[in-house]
Amino acid sequence: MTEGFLPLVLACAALTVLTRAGGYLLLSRVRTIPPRVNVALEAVPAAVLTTLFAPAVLSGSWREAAAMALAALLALRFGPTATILACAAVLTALRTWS
Amino acid sequence: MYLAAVQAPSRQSAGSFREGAVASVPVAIAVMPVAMLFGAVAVNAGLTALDATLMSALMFAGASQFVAIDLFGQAIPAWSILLSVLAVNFRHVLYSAALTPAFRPLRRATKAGLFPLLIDPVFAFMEKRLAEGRGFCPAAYLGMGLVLYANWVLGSAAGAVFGQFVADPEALSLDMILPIYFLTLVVSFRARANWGIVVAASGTLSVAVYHAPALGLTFLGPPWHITIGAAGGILAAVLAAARGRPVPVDEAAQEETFEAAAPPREEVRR
Repeated sequence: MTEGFLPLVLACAALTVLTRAGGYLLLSRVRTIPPRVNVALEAVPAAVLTTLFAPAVLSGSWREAAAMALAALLALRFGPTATILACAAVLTALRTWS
Repeated sequence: MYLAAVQAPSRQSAGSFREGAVASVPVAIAVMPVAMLFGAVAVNAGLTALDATLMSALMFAGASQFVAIDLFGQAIPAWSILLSVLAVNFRHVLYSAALTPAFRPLRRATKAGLFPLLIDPVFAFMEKRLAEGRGFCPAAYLGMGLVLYANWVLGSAAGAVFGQFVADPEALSLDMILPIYFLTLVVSFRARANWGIVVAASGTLSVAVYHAPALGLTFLGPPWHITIGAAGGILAAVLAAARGRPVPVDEAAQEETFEAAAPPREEVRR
């Protein structure tokens, strides 16, 4: 085991189970979600996940930026697995030959 | 054992269990490469195969596991990792809220056994069953949930073992897989209201905060790019949204399901 990893995983696991039971535990009190809260909740995944890839676009060389741009295009049409494999192949080629 | 603890077995529940297991097969096939990718990326990020497998066994939460290993590898403080995991998994709150009427009559032990398996395809499957008027069935729920659980854990382990044999991760571009994966997830949300505004706001803010220390603002930089960037994106959505009516919880959950972050949306849609 990597040091410090198990406590983190246990906390993450507890948090995940809590979200899966949470709606049931909460709903005895709440039936509807205020519109602004619903808008905020709907924005959460895109808002968080964007912060996880945006810095990577500008932190590498032009090759990494090109691979990310290609990923954005491919993801419009294909699923994550196909997109990742294609982009990894292209980036590997760029790193090898340019 | 697990099934017996959750529900008294009967011939009928064995049939329902099989129905759930069969329905999970296309999802399992689609998720397997993602599970293997998770194992390989986790090992590449400096974790052991045991770490990766244990994480999949304890969390069973696709996208947020990728998020956690990515941030753990960057030595980001634990509270920030937990906040990100919570944000990515938050949609599950809506799922269990939407299924509340179905869960209510069950015994407490049954509920405790079912909640940890409430992942995107299981919610979609049960919603579909309820919509078809066939009622909520713990055995069918377990059939799908347990098959997908085994699939996820075994796939992660296989990917991690395979990942150990990759000598030069950068040569295979493994170091860029996480950002590309997160990018594809964000693109899959594009049908949502205010999507462009949210992505533009959190993207710009996160890059700015990430590079702020280079401009002398040393109190910023990672991990604040996640917290501040995400908060900015959410705020932008709220400011851009028109005033509306209160939304019933089950409707909000349905909006979330079919594009959910993990497993990927084309696999849930079948």
